[in-house]
Amino acid sequence: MTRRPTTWVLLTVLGVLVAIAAPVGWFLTRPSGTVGAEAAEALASGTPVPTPPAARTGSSPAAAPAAPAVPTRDGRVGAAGSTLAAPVRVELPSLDVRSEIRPVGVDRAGDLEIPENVAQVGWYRYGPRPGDPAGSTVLSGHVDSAEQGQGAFFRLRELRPGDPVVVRGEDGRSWRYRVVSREEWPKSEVPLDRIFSRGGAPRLTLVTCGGGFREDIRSYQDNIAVTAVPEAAR
Amino acid sequence: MKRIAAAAVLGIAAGLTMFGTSGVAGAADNASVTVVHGIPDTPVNVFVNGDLTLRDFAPETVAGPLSLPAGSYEVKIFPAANTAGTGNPVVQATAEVPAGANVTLAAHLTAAGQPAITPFVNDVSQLAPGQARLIVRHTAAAPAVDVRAGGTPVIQGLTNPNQEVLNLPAASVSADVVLAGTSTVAIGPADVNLKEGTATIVYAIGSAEQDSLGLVVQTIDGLHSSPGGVPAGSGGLAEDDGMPTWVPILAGLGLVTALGGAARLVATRR
Repeated sequence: MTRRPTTWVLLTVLGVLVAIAAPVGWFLTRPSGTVGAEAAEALASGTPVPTPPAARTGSSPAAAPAAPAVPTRDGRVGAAGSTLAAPVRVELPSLDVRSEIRPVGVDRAGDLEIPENVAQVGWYRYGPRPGDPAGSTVLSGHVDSAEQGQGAFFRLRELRPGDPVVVRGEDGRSWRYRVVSREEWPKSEVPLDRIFSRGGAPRLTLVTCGGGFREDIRSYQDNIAVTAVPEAAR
Repeated sequence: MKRIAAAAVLGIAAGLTMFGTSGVAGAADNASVTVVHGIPDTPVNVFVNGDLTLRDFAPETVAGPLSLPAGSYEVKIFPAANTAGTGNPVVQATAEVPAGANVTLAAHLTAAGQPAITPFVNDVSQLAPGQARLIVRHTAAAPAVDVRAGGTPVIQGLTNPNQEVLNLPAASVSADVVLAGTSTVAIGPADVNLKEGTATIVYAIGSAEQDSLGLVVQTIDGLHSSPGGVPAGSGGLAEDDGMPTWVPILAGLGLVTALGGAARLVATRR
């Protein structure tokens, strides 16, 4: 009762500071959903020129010096098909994650298929394979499921630039990548054409769900994508 | 019969390249031109606008695609032994190339076995994810045919020089060509890889009479589209609601403190 007014002034000022500092401090120090987005965008923007297949019978430069050679190709049935192995395992050593990979396509709605077993990761089999000269190899895994609990990519959002990713092909060959970005968007704003691009620099894109969860539709509100580049390319 | 049209088509594409380099039109208006040689046993030299453009061009070969300005191109085809381009060509044609189109010029035999050049406009519209496009073109000296995939007819009554376009789930299919309405196999079976996001154009070529029927395949990729979304979670265990609970609690405590202090301050002033 005998305290001087300055005590109350100090207490008031202190209270105001705490009230302001708490949300501001959280905002400034919270783990960011997105890091390195520019790097991921730059990787997608390059469009390598496809190498024309070897000519079966080429035009002779001596015969037509002024004309660029016309690329020609064997038209008989049975040519072509990728010689690269499909990916069968993925490892995220920094998160202690090891998962089997299954080839996936799209479901009836046209959405990406995700393996039903949440411990497994899906590889979008219509897109590039590890080792292809261009485009995004897409691996997608559940963050979780209502029935099975945590999925293979439960902790994907903890990956940081520089973290390693290892993908093994069915031929036993390993492909090593380094994370360059982690991005998060509301589902309506996900750059699907960038994630599933078959052009641009060769890269690996790991996709899962995140953000807020809507109980009514049992669905997350965001997608999280981690982009990694082949180690040799760094 | 052996001399011919196929070569002519090829020549067109090559000649167009030369025009293309001279910058006649903007690249956006250019046509994409591919040439398919569908006349068996007939290597040729192709002259476009008088220049030898494709030398010793082999049957069952696909040339291109070339980005060419729209326009009219004169194509002459000579037997492979003729490198001078003089005398009477085996076949000659004037090819009109429309702006912006994706065109294949097919050198082939008519149903009656005469050499011909048929321009086809290729359907390069985008495919739904998981889908592939199969285009079958009857360019053989043969009657009407059916095309079967895995033994089931998917195209019926196709005649020279017509085509049929189907969008199908991507897969490798065992396809054969039968005489229309029969199970008499004319060509195949052959395993055709219908790649996702790709148009696979199959030409039936050759001559039934000369026992030279076969298939030539041209592909156009880049027609894919992306899946509509990535539904990768239904549990809510990883829910990230944003602000953790300690933030509003701490801010609230701060507010209470400030209000308390202010109230005391007011009281002491009285």
